[in-house]
Amino acid sequence: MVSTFTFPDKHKKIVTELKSGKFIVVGDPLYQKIKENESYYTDFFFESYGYILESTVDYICLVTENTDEKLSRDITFFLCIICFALDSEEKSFLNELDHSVFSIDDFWAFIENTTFKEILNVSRRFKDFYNFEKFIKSLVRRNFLKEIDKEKFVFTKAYKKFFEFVLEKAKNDTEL
Amino acid sequence: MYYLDPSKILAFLFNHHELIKSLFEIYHNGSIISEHQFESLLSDYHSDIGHNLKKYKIIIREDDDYKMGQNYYDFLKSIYRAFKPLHPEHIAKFYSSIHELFLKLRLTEKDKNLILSVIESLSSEITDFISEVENNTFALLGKSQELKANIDRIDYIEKIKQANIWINVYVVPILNIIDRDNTDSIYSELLKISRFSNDQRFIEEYEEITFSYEKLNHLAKTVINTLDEQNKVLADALLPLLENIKTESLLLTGMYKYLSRRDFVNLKDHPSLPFVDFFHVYSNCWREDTALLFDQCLEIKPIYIKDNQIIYTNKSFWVFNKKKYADKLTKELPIYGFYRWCLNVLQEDNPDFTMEHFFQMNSLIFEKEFKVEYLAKNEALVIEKLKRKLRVPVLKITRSKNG
Repeated sequence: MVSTFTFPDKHKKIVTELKSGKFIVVGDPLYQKIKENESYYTDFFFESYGYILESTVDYICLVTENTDEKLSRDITFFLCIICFALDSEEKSFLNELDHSVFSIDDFWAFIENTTFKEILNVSRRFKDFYNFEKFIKSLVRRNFLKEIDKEKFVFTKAYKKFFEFVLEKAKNDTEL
Repeated sequence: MYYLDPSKILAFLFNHHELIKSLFEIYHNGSIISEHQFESLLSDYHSDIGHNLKKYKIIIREDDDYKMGQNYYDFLKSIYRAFKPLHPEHIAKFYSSIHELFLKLRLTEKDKNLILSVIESLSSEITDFISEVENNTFALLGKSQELKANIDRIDYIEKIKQANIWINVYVVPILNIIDRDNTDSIYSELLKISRFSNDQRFIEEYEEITFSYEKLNHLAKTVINTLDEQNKVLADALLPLLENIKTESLLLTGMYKYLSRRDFVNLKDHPSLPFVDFFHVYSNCWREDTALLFDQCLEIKPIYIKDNQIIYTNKSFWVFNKKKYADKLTKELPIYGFYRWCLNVLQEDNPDFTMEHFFQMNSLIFEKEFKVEYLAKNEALVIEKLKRKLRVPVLKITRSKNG
């Protein structure tokens, strides 16, 4: 016999946003709400959907092993290409990701001028500007990017999720 | 050893500063000047120049090659700000020299000349120490900036290794040496020197010694402040810069390995986000939606609506057909008295015409195929059925050139 279902404040919004693949970043009121009920939501998402709640000091999101989605792969491509481009301009890409404003034309220029040309053929999202623009808009919907003005974007702390993945790769393969 | 005129040495350095700078750069980068390099540089100069370089001990023979005189090398390093990062041991050695001299000062009995001599040596050692620390910090900053800009074009793995060396071998040990919280650090020793000299200047009977202690106290305090600044630079600027270089290089290494793969189509090795699918649940309106869908597929029978009201005949339900009346007018051109013509046509077609119908006919004169001419001011037009008497202009209608 299941007892009466109780849930925290803003529960519906939390579940809807996380399930839609959105990153809840630090500073968002929902972030604090989830943190206060972290063990509840960890169990809730796992028992209800098989999703793992990933909660760090910068962001909260859901992760799953059971998917063939390619968006996260393309986000990783996008981030890597941007970082290499910024590094080649002798900029600290960590500082740029934290503080700089980019236009969609800036992003597209990085993509077009990348030396990793074969990457562009793997995903339709980088094939032309029209598809790329849709990709950028999906990143805004997921709160990976924030649109601060018409076609001007800043990165949210969500990029750190993909950096963790990249660091794992580096540490596994280097003798450092 | 014979006397060397200092003014001649300085004049020589000034007059041949380009040559000396070239020799310095070779020695600074390689720690030796080969015979070949030396001869090559001097080939554009008079033979006296090489002789003077050796005479003034700017260049000293060492086996088959040359080295630069240490005093000149140190002097040129400070002028060109070409410092190299020092191993922490080079800085740490000042601890023992300062500590020993300070101990000697405390233990020295009332010997005025000895006290003055020890204070002078201690002050000199402290001055050399802070000079080395400042030069070293400057050199480390320069090297870190070079690493950041990747001047030597090394790969990311090498950058990480180099950053690790700068951090672990140079910066962190130096921070320990000058750490204010470390009781065995030079910083702590300087605090003791400052306190001691401050106390001593009030109890010394010799004015000269009192003055020396005041200078020593002031020097110790100045160096302590400088160490605080250097600590800040090392800990708050240099260390984070190197850590940043290390982190970024590590990230770029990982990114490069990721992007260099060839099997992206089937790649599962990336962070997975939830797949957004929208059709999990059933609509609450499914019954109505389904019924609507089925209704559209049923055979539709025609429906007739019977109107019990009066059905108008063609004649009483008259609609102004402009084309019809324009054609009629065209056939009967020319017309003298347009409005009388309208009245006659209406009476024939629509006996129950209204004034509104009559005025609708008026729109025919604006058709482009008709030319309208004003014949007379007005004529009386009597519409008996409507009991109206109109005064209308007499208009002649003919075919226009455009019609």
